[in-house]
Amino acid sequence: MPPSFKGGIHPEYNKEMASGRAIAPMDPPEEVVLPLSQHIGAPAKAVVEKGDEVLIGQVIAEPGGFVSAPIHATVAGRVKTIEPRPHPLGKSLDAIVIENSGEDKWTQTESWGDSWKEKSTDEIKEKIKNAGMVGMGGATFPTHVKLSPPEGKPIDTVILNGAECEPYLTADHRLMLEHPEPVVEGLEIISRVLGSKRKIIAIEENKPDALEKMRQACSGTEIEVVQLPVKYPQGAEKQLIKALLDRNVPAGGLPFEVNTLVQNVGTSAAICAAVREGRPLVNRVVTITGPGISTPSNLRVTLGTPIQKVIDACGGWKGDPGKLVAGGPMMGFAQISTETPVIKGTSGLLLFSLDDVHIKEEDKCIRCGTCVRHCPMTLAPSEIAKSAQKKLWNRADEYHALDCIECGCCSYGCPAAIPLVQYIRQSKAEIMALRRREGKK
Amino acid sequence: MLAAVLTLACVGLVLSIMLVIGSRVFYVEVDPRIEELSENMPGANCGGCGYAGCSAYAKALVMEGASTDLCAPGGAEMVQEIGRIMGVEVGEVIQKVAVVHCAGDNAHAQNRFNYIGVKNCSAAAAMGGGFKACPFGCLGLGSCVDACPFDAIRITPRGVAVVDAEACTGCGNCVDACPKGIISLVPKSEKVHVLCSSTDKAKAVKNYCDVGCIGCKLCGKESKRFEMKGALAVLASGDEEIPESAALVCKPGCIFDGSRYDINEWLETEGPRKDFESRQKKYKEEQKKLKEARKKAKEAEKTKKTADSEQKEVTE
Repeated sequence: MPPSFKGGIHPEYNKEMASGRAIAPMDPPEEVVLPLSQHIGAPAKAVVEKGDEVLIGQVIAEPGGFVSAPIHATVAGRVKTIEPRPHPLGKSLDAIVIENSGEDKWTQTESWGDSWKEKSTDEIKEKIKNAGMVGMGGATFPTHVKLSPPEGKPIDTVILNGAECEPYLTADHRLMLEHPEPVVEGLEIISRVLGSKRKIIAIEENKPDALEKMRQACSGTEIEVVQLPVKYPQGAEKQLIKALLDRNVPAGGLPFEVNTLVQNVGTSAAICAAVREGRPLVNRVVTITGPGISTPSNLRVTLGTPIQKVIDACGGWKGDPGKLVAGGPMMGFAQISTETPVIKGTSGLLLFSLDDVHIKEEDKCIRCGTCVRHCPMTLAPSEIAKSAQKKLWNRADEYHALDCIECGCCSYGCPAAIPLVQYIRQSKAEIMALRRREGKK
Repeated sequence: MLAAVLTLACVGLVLSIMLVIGSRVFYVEVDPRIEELSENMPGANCGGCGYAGCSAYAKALVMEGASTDLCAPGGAEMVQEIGRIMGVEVGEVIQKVAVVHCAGDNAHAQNRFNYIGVKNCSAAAAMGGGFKACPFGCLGLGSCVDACPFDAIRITPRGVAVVDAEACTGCGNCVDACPKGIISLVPKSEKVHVLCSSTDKAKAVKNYCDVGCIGCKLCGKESKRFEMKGALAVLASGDEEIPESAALVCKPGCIFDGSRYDINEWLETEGPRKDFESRQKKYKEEQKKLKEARKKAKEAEKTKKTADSEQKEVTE
């Protein structure tokens, strides 16, 4: 039996729209907007002021805590202003706006080349941290935190996640196809830092060309390239670990508790660039796709580029704008403006014209159990939602609302169109607030 | 037949004797005041006092010496009653009611995006602050309505919450339920309210709402009770009566004058606002005339003075 996990769904993947498009570089815009919150954790603290001249790769904001990451200038030019700007998550948050002078001038970087193999693990970790590295699959968890497991919890297995189970997205697919070497080298760097023996690259079987390329790139090494069946959310950390290693990450726990680390292939390639060439995270591959875009593409976009510019670079909207999602269709965020910037976690932009958007009104639960069957965390979403409707947050907690990974399988399948994930997210927030209050008492 | 009747009668007798003995032996002395208090409470179990319900409050009054003026639904009478039962002096109690400080409904305020999802305010507010362009505006999804044990709040067809001051007991459940924090308790006698909570500056407010406070401070000149919180006029508590002019000088009309209009009609129909606008215009003209008259009088006085002095010079 092929490796798998319980639950999950098979949505229409629609990857063919963009999967044949090679990654093309996109010209940097005249102005970039770099929010101080581009990662999970404390927002970064700005270290430049209005009017300062900056070079590409220069640190413009320092980490605001341990779980945080620095932000770098992605173009050379002048800091126009530091003010609240629309953020992809919906709020207006502080952002550094830089006017592009048009010059391709980099700040001084230390290029290690192959000599990284002689550096100490602490040096490498510091380098990755200073490069502002975060998980590029979309969750944007600071990478250096993942690379610092607590003592007594050695990481014996590193998994590179090339599943790309979100429908529509092809950024990771194209990256593995076109640039397999940095992905593999990034994996070597990670396992060197953690001293891990086992290295796995996991790819869903709907990307046979990428599988082939990665197998070639890994020939002669100890790296295993594993073919996974197609199922959403195959690329979710806990599901991936279950499928590949049959290890169960405990409830509320992180992968290090079962001696495992999962990184996205995009992060791996970026780690390679940071360690070999000393280049911080200033751009990323973004898939622009969906029935609402004229030319679906995979572009290497400068971080901070307003989404409107990216859409323009792809020929603009096809039909009347209906819905714009940053990220994948299952876990991405609908955008309220095209002025929001591309940030470290923007793996894709999904455009739907007005004709493609179907809205179903929420109806009553018919207790069909579809959500329970689909849930990859084996929760009962309908019960949590029912608790949330009645504001019984303790009951929602008893149904383990906090274990929800917000993959969206339950909402996807619900025939009554109940916004289950939203109910669960509300429950999570209320449960955490309750716990904080109780903790204070 | 007889045997059965006798047996049951005996069993009944024995058990009743046991019950009587048991009730004497295990008798728990209860302060009779607790029972009396519980009987006199409104019985809504609204929790506005901060205790789990009416009987819990009654117990707390007797056992813990809780404050006597916590029962909002009972009002002044209840407080007097509690004072009588507890045998303590009670001061005068101000009956309070809840007021929603927002009039930015669909007819007046902009939305940022179409919201499709869980129909309650806290869930909607978690989506980047909600769908209203105004970060302070009433979302109109009725979390306060759900929280009200007295059916005293409803959402107008245009989408803002409004309190029925007669039904409201001032328990404060809605104040806690509102994720935007725009509901407050004010004395029931208060007729004037600022129906806006936006502390944003005028430029931002004008972009998203026709009836939002722009922080012009004109109301503050009419009555000292209007205090500024950022760029928002807030009515501080006090005894001083608010003059009619305070509402009339407010350009966006966010000061609601309850002595003249009905809040429901104000929010649901165009009539009162039209009437208000015409009064506002009239008031402005009157003020202009007054100003001109004053100016003329001043000038006249001036010319008279100079004329007088000239005359003096001449006579000298």
